Order: sequence, then C-alpha cells, then structure tokens
Amino acid sequence: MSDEINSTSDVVLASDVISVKGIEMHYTGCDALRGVDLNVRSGTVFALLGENGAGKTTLIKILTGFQPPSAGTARVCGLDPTKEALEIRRRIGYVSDAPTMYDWMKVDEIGWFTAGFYTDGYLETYRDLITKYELPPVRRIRELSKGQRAKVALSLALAHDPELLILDEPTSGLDPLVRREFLESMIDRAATGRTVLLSSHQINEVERVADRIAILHQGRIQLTGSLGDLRDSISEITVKLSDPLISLPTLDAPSQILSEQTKGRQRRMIVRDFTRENEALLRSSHGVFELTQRSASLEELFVACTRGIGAVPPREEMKEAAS
Amino acid sequence: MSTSSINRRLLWKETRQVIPLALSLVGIAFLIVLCLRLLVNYQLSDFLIFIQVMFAMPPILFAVGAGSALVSAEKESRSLNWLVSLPVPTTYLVRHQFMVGLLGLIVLWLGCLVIYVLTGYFYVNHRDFYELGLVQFFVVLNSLYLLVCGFTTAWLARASILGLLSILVLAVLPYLAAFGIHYAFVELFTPGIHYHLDPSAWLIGAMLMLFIVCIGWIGFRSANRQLSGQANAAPSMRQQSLHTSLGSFANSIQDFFRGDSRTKAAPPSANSSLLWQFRNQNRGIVYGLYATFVLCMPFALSALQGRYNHQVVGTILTATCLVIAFCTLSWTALLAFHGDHIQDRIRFLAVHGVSPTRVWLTRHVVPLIFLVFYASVWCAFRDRLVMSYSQLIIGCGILYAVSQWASQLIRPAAIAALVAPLISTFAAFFIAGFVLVELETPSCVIVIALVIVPLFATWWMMPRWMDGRRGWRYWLTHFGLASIAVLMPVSSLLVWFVLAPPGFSSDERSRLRSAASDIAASKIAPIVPFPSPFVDFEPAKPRNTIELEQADLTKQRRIRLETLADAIRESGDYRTLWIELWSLKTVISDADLLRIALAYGDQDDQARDETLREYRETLRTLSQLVPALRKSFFLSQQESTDLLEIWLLAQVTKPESRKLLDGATYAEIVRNISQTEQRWEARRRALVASLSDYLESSSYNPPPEQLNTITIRKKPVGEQSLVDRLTSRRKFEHAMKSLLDYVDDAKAGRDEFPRQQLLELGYASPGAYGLGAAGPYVRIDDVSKFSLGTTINGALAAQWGAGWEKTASELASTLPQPTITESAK
Repeated sequence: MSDEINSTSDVVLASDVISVKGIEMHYTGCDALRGVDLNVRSGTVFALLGENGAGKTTLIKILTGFQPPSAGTARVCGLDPTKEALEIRRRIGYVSDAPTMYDWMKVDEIGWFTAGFYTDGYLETYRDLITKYELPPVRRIRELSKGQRAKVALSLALAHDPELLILDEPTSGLDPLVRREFLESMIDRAATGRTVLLSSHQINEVERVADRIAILHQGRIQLTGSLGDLRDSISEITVKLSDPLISLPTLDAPSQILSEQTKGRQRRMIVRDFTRENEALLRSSHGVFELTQRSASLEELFVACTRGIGAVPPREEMKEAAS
Repeated sequence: MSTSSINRRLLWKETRQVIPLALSLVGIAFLIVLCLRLLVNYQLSDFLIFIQVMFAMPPILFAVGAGSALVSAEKESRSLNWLVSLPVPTTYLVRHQFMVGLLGLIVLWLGCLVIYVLTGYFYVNHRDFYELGLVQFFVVLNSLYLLVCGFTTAWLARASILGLLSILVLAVLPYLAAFGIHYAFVELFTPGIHYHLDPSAWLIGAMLMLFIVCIGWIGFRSANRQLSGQANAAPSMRQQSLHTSLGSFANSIQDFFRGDSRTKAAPPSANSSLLWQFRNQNRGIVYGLYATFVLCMPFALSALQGRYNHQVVGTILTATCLVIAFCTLSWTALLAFHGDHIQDRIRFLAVHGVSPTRVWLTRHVVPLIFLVFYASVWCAFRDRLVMSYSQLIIGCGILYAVSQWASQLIRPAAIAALVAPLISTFAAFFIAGFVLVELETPSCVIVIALVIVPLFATWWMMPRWMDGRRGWRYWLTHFGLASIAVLMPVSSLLVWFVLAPPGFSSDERSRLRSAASDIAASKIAPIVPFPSPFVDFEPAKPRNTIELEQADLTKQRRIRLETLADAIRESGDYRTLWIELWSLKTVISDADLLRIALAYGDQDDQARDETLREYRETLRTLSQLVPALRKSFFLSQQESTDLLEIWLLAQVTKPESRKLLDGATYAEIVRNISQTEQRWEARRRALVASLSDYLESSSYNPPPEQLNTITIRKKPVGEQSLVDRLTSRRKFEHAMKSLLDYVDDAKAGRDEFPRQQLLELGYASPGAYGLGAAGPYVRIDDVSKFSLGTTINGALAAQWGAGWEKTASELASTLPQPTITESAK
C-alpha cells in the first residue's frame, strides 16, 4: 500500500497546495513521523485522520514552519516551510486546537490589530465574519466562552481569504452547534475553490466535509484517497474456514488486504478493491466453506488501520449494540 | 484522605515549586562572590562588605519572589483552578504556600548566618560584629515583611510581574510611616537641634510589625475570596449603578491610555499596531516604572549627595530608593519579551506570519524611550556618581541589553524580575568595570561585548523564540553568544599572549648569568662615592637671603671641584665611581656660571684669567669623569655619563664656549667623549649586570619597579592593572632582549634603536625616545638643541645611539693623531 502512495506522491502536480515527501521527525526516544508522503490538491477539503499521538500536529507544525523536519521535503503553496515560513504563514490561515490570543484585547480590537499584518480588506472581512458568528465586538477575549474564542480564531484565520486553511483539531471541546457551524464554513471554503487541511480524529465530522482523507498511524500514512472512492472500494470480507490454520491464497492485483484477523475458524479482512476474480479465488480455495462481503464504513476503516481489524466489532455485534 | 497526608503532599508540591527560585538566587550570589574574589583586587574591608551584601541578598530576593513563584505562577498556568477543584480546604492552600515561603526564608537566613559568622569570625572585630548583627536583625524583619507583601500582591495582581513591581511601592511604606511619625513627634514638637536623620530602629521595627499584620490580613482575605469564588460574585446593585454612572468617564480615561478610539479607525501599519499592542499590554507597568523612578530619584540623589560630600551616607529610605530607582531600567527591559511570554501569546504573531525582526524592533521602542529618559536623568546628576558621560551611557546600555537578554531566556517572571537586575548590575559594574580598569579593554570592545552581543542574541533567536522552538540549539546558541560576550574583552589579552614575542629563554638566561659573572670582580670592589656637593656648606648654613649672599660660594665651588678630582683619582683603574645626577648637575652648573661670568666681561683681567683657568679646569675634570663613570655597572651612572658627554660636546661645538678653550683642553675633552667602543662596552656591562640581578631576584614576576636604579614601571605594583601584571614581565624581557641585541649591533656598526619595545614598557613618554614635538630636544641628535634642564628624562637608554655620538666621533677624527712620544707619555 505504501508503495502505491509513494508512487502517486512522486508526481507533484501544479495544482498541489501541499506536497510532502519522505518527511521524518525524530525526537529523543520517539519517532513522531517516519517517512510521510502526501499531496493535497487545491480546492479540496483534505482530512488528516489519526488517533492521539499519531503525528498530525507534528506534520502541521512542519507544514507551517514551526518545526524543521529531521528528514524529507515539504512544499506549501509552492514554498519551502523551512526557509519561507513567514511567507507561508502570511498566505495561509491556521487555527490550532488551543489558539493563543491576546486575551486582554476586545474582539474588535484583535481584528484591528491583526489587520496591520495583512493587505487591505482584512478588517472589513473580519468584521463581517464576527457579525456572521454573532460575536460581541466590545467584549474582551478572556471573557468569551471556548466556542466564541474558537470562532474569533477562525475569523482571524479566514479574514485574509487564505488559499489554504489549516485546522488542527478545531472542534475539540466545542458543542455540537458550534461544531456544525465550523464544518459548514469548511464546505463554504471548498465551494469557493480554496483548500482546507483538517486534522481530526472525529470520523463522523470528517465524513461530512472531507473530499479526500489520509489516515496517519504511528508516524506513517496508512491510507490515502478520496472519500467516495474509499467508500466504494473498501470491503469487509469474512471467510469461514474448516481449519483455522489454513492459509488463504494471495489476492491478485489490484486487491489489497489492509488488515486481517483470525478468530477461531473465522477470518476477517478489510480489503481494498476486492474484485470478483479474487472472490472466486477465495471461494474456490481449500477449506473455505463460506464467504460474506459488505462495504466498510470510514470509522471501521480507521479503526482497522489504527488498531487492526480485531478492534472493529462484527456487524452482528454492531446491530445488537445499536438495537 | 487524612489531614497529615494532605499537608505532606501540599508541602511537597510547594517545595518543588520554590526550589528553582532559591537555588538560582543562591547560585548567582555564589558566582558573583567567586568572581569578585578571583578577579578583582579589592581591599579586604571592601570585600567583606561585598560578602555581607551578597549573602544577605539571596534571602531578601527570595522573600520578594516567593509569592510570585508560588501563587502567581499557579494562577497564570491555571493549575490553581484545578487545585481548588480538589477536596482540599482553601485555607490549607493559602497556609501551605505561605508556610513553605517562610520555611525557605528561614533556611536561607540560617545558611547565610552560618557563612556570615564564619567570615565575620575571621575578619571582623567583636564590636563591628555586634553592630552588623543588629543591622542584620532589622534586615531579617524587613525580609519577612517583603515575604508578606510578595504573597499579598501575588494574590491581588493578575500578572506576576505586576505583582512583583507592586512590592516596590509597599516596600517603602513602613519606612515612610516611621519617618512621618519621627518627623511629626520628634523633629516638629521636640525643641532643640536633631542630628539623627533616621528614626530609631525600634520605631522602624514597630512599623514593620504593624504593616506585616495589616498587609498579611489583606492578602489572606484576598486569597480566601479568590479561592472560594467570592471574588467572581456578581457586583451588587450599588456597584452596578456606580459603574454605570462612571461609565462614560471611565471610557474616556481608558481611551486616553489605550487609544480605544484608534481601533475604530482604519487598520494601522504593522509597526504601529505592534507598538499599540506592546504599549497597551504593558502600560500599567511602564507608567508604574516611570512613576517609581521619578518618585525615587530625589531620595536616591540625596543619598548620592551625601556620598559625594563625604558626609552622610544616607538614610535607610534614601538607600532603598536608590536601589529601586537603579533597578527600574532592568525591569523595563524585562518587558521587551516578558509580556509575550505569558500564555505563549507571542505564538499569535508567529502564526500570523509577522516578521521576527519587526516584532523585535517594536518590543524595544517603549523600553528604549525609558532608557533615554533614565540615562538623561543620571547624566544630569553625573557628578554625584563620579562617572563620565560615556561611562554612564555605556553602563545604562549594558543594564538594558543584559536585562532584555534575561527576559528572553528566563520564562518564570519571578525569577526573571529578580535575576535580571542582579546579573545586569554585575555585568555593568563588575564585568565592564573589571575589563575597563584591570584589562584596559577599549570602551568600544565593551560596548560590542555587553551591549551589541546581547541585543544581537535576542534578535537572532527571535524566530525560534516566537515559534517556541527552544531546543538544545536555541540554548547552545545563547550559551555561545554569552561566552563570546564574556571572552571578547579578554580576547585582546589572549591574542597578545599567543602573538607577543617571548621573554628570555633558558639559554639566554644562562648566557646572561655567565656574562654577569665576568664583571663580578668589579662589583666586589668598594664604590667611591662623590660626597654631597653641599657638605661643606653645612657650617655656613644660610638662614636667609642676606646670609646666602654673604656665603663664600666661590670657595664652595672650588671645594666641589677638588672633591670631584679626588674621587676620580681614588677610583683608579678598578673601582667604580658613584655620583648622583643632581650632584653632577651642580658641578656642571658651576662651569656654566663661570662661562656666563666670562661672557659678561665685567671682570678685570686678573679675575678674568682666574675665571678662565677655573672654567677650563672644571671642564677638564668633568671630561676625566667620563671614563671614570663608564666603569660603573649601574645603568643610572651610564645615563648620567651620556648627559655629561652631551653637555661637554655642546661646550666644544658651540662657538661661544669653544673660543674659551685652549687646544689642550679641547683635545682632552674631545678624546674623552669620543670613546665609542668603550661607551658601548660600558653600557652593555651595566645592562648585563642589571639583568643578571633581575634574574637572580627570587620573584621576577612582576618585574621590579626599578632596573638597577632606573625606573622601569609606570605605576607601583599596588596600583597596577591585571593586564599590567600579566604582561609586564614579557614586555620587559622582550624590550631588554631587543636592547641587548641593539647594543651588540651598534658595536658592530648597525643602528636600529628598539624604540617601540621600550615605549611598550609604558613608563616613558614618546618624547623620551625622540618622538613628537619635544623629541629632538630630549633625545639629542643635534647638540645645539641640548639643554640640561629639558634633556634629562630618566628613561632607560634615552640617549643610546642618538646623533650626538656620531658628532663626537667626527670631532675626534679632526684631532691631530698623537705622536708615539705623546702616546708613551
């Protein structure tokens, strides 16, 4: 699978807003990133999925120039983050999970203050945004609720109409209403042809807004592709065997086993691009007496990629749990 | 959980929080004392005062910073909110925080007391010890008061640095109260003249106790209100109506200070918005520091005035104000980066792609305005500090630059606010003072090392600081730049040691000793002294002008001449003659007086013939003195002989004196002063003998002040700088080697006088070796420029190889060659 990702990322298209190749980041006693390759095309909402500690924030820090990588190269808006970090930060919008702001300033003041660093029109757009988000302009930042602060941070990040918006777990700790507003604004951005890089571990909200996703696990990209393709191409295959020790034949290309687990005489696999030929191959294999196939949800895919298929509950259990 | 378990855990937490502060203060005090002891050549009494001050400083500064380290830090990191959410009584939290602060203070005081007693036991007599102990008691009480103030302001203030600066105001309150009471009840209502400026120690003590109770109660109440949530309670109706009625007034006041109306206008440029942000973020502290400085300056100046007049050192109040006024610059410089340290606010600017250079520049504008104000005020009262303008400005620059460096490096506000004044003062007064005085480093190097490098360091590390990339590279870069700042003033000395020519090698030493042993025999022979020319003047001993006129000066002159001739005869072929320069000048003056008498022509013929005969005899005797003195192995005698030869040469070359000489006298004088080879031999012998004595001396580092009666050092050992002490030996040996080589070369006919090497010894002016406008009149190339009063300069080898020697040789070549008969005679 990684070979495939490497081969696709080797081609850097002119429309790629983010292009990452072989990025590694090593701390003392910890490898945060171990050779990440990634391309994000303009005009998409790209979701970076991964559990806590997968390396999402480290990758974003590298992309925004806050952290030089141990190895590898990255281009953001055609610029090198290690050398042109300032220019990148001027051209993008970035909202972290806990945005730092001058909390003694008023909502209106912080926009007026930040307008000094951007081109004309920033303040007007900012004022439109705070009006849209119903933020009180004369209240100090420290007096705002967490959701309101997040809205101020998003307004500040959007007011200069950046070609790339990077959001690092922006909705963590927000109530559902604010979260929904946030996500809608992402869709609005994508509709205007701008790019959004969204880092999150909230699968359901990613499913609602993302065009493409990448699953990051233990510092490596486990899977990348468009959400629609993934939905269509990922299947959960359950094979009942006469003997648990039976080995199944290797699947022919383009099918690819993302994870598998044997429990008793039942073997479960998450397979990408499962073809009829491979289905026939499995059915005709010695010791296979039953094969069932169904589409896997993104959450199942995520869990399978990060925890292994063993962590994905069987469909019957899910139904029972749901009932 | 049991009470004891809660107590134990809370004590553990508070202790862990306060240890960095205590250790950093003790460490810095220890380093400063160590540096002072190792580097600075202080008098013992001065050093003891420093020891006492430095060992009293950690507990006092700890008292100031403990509240901030224990309370403000927790408030800023919001860990206090979590702590309150635990099932721990709020009074426990307040009590334990204060208890740990108090325990830390007690431990520090006990430690200081032990060190103080040990140092005092060895150096201070019992009476002084008792008096100092009494002072220490009030210092301890004062530190307790400061501890209470620190906790109270930490609870009251929102930001730790604001709380720390509020202590400044509270610190002087008990003294102001004591002064007020003292002035009201003693100075006004009690008749008579009062000489004591300070109120009694007991009154100050009572005021301190009273304020400890009052301010402690305020702090305890505030802490309980905040922890129990009462501070967040909704304002009462009365408060709300008051706020509404004062609303417009409050808004206009805010607009005046914050510039609120500006934010309604069009967006500003990046620079002006950053300046607006910095000014508003720190306006309370900046205005407070201006006010503190302005209020404290009159008191500080009165303290300095006392010191300047050598009368009164100043009162406790004025001394405290002096310290506070002095520290305001450091605290202002801290604002450059500290306001943005809080909650990592600086990341906001980093995220929005603001240029680090722009941020760096705008962080310095407001503090620099204060720096200009601060330096101007001190410059206006420069005479009281006994410092030059340049020293003051450089000192202020160092205070500022080092403090702003500390503000970028040290994140906890309490530690930064306490450590920055300490290290910046140390850098400004001790490092800069030391390198300026002891290492004689040029001011420009000090400015580069202690002003430019710290500013460059904060600018260079600005991107990493803004991005929060404080890894090992960040710290190593700062450490490297700090090392450069410290080593740069010393670098010229280190380079000198590497590049400067070496002193005597062991071979050269042994050769010198061997050469000196050859002249040991002549050194054993007793020296013939030329008695004081006024020895026979004693019986006459004129007590006034009339008696002086009546004294028989002619007789005295003749006696001197006879004595000199006897001394020359007595010295013979082996013994050396010793004549003081002033004695020689007396005899020369006798000859000059005789010549003047002849020039006036107011004598009768008989008297004129007698004077002429006496003049010629004096000159012949003085010319005979030349070979007699050349036997001497004393350098000073060789220098005197040089002068004598030049004077005699002048007599035979100037027409007015030449016409007074007969042929025999002329020939004798010219022969005696043209013995070039003997002259160089005599000089070499004297130099070798002198250097041999120098090498034989038990301690030739630093070299002696005199080399065989010639002064070779510009200052006595006690007044010498460290660089003098370190370099003088090599400089001296190199100059002597060059001089010895020169003597050998000159004997062989080559002539390159080691003027530069001799000048580097530093004791003689350039004119002594023929440089500058006075040079030709001091080092004699043209004899017509010789004047006895001007030419004597006391410099080593001043006349060696000068042009007069060539003139003497040329004169000798014009003399008729002696016949064999004459030679035999």
